[in-house]
Amino acid sequence: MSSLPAALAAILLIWAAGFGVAVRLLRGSREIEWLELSALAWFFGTAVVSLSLWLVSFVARGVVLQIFVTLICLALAVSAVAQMRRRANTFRFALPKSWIEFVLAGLLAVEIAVVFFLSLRHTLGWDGLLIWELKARLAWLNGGTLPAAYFADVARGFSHPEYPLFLPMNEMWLYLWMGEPNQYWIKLIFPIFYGAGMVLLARAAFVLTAKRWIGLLVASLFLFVPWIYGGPGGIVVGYVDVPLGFFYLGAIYSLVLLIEGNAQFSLAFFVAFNSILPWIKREGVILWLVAGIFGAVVIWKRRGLLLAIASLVPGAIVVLGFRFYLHVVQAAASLDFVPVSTTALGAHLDRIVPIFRELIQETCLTSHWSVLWMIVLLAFVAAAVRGQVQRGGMIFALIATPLAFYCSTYLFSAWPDYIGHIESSLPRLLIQLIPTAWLLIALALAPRNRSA
Amino acid sequence: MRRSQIFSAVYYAICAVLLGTLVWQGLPGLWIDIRSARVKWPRVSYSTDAFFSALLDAPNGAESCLDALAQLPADRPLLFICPKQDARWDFVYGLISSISWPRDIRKENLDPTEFRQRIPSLHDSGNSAVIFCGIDPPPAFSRGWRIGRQLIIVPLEAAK
Repeated sequence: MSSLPAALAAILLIWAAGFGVAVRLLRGSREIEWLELSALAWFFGTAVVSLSLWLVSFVARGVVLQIFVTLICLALAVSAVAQMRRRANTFRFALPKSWIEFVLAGLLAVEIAVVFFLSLRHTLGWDGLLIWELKARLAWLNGGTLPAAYFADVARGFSHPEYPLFLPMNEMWLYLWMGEPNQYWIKLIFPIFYGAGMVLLARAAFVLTAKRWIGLLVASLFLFVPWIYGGPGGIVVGYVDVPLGFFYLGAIYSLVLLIEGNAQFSLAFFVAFNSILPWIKREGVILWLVAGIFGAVVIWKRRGLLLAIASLVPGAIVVLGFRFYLHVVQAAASLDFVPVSTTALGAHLDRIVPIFRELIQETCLTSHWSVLWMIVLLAFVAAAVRGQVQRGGMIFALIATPLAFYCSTYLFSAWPDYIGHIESSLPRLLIQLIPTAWLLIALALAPRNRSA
Repeated sequence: MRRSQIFSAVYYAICAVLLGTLVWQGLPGLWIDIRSARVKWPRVSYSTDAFFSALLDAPNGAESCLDALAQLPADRPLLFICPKQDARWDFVYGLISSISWPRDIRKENLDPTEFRQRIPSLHDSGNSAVIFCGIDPPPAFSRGWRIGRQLIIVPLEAAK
């Protein structure tokens, strides 16, 4: 129990760093909604702390690394407070305004409490323990950076040394503060992601539909998808798929704001959310590319070609920077896939139908998804019929395009039983798209012909 | 009532049925999870211990393993031997390879025939210990640290 205050201090510093970034990005906004700012602060904070730890660990280790990153967090927070004073920003706390909003907000609060409770009760899952926590533990034992020997260690290759370090670095941040690799208290990270994600989803759905109750409704229903609370890749088992889904949702929410043209900060938010996707998980590169291309087209039309290209640069730096790092440490390539080539593609074209069949079978599994994916499909049709063709089409495309890319990767699966590969990983990939899927459902629930 | 109002009412009724179905199917599992949940006392190796306990019936498994490994020479690798095609033991290997860092460790998945053939060469393998998991060690390798029912860490010095 003695590690809890230290873990809370580490979490508070993550939030402080994110608060600094969020306030900086919110320039031009006089009035700031407190809950939304808190959620954004968590997302940006985890990005800042993980990237800072990784970069600073090249020059400092142990306590020096901890002090250095702590100073970064505090400096960001202090500069944000000073900036807010200069601009005379005011905070707003959006209280529920009707009985239905009260009920749904209450339900959502109970659900967040339940997720905290379940997270502390559950253990970390297979990937949570042997891919993400293992890296955090090794980095902590090595003073804050993954040992070079780990990348060459074939015997520990099962832990995918080539995976990005967003989650391990955040977990290690807590370890640095606790002074021990405490597997119990690091689980606090995941319900916080869930709470922040629900605020983001509720806010995004509200902006999209102009109805706060719809935002609260979809956020309240999010937890009832069986695989979200009970499956591998769900919220409570220490996987990174749900957080990745929330970052993708953040990118799309910012894109919607950008298209609606009603927020000065939307471009900065979009770039921030989107650029961090490749740092979270390998599939994040696909999400970054899809949202990035959509975003670049939107930015091109509104702000010009140069800014459109520039919006892709931070993400490209993350992708190339981490690839360069893996090259330097001589990390072994993933054994799950063969190199992408026309020869490999030609040799595996016969997989297309089985892959598609597996996708249909998986999305129809009610024990995993209940009727979620059927609702998503109907929501797309309903949104189009109800006069939301453009927005519905865009969100649907931002779900379907990454999914198509995800499925196409199985054409290059190196597993002898590629169907087994699909069955073991596709559910986790689908989880990454669920927050955005709820945004489409929210759109379908919006009153006809009403815009945000 | 206007036609558009009727359509709207029907539309929202269908939405309510679909979303209600989602809640109806998701709620029982969530409820069972909540009801069966007992928050346990915080432990440093909370998850590792839980899996050691579930897979090997070895409470405090992480600590027991660390105590055993601390008594082995650090400069020689560990050899982990387990049966083929049983994901449980691969998972245990993952746990041990995590807590045993920075020691070198290797895994061999052997079927009964391969295991019998491998036994004579174990002494000369240059390892500090052999970890038998989910497989009965031969009589010459029975002195070591038992971690639950299915795992034994045998120092090769002792086996000699």
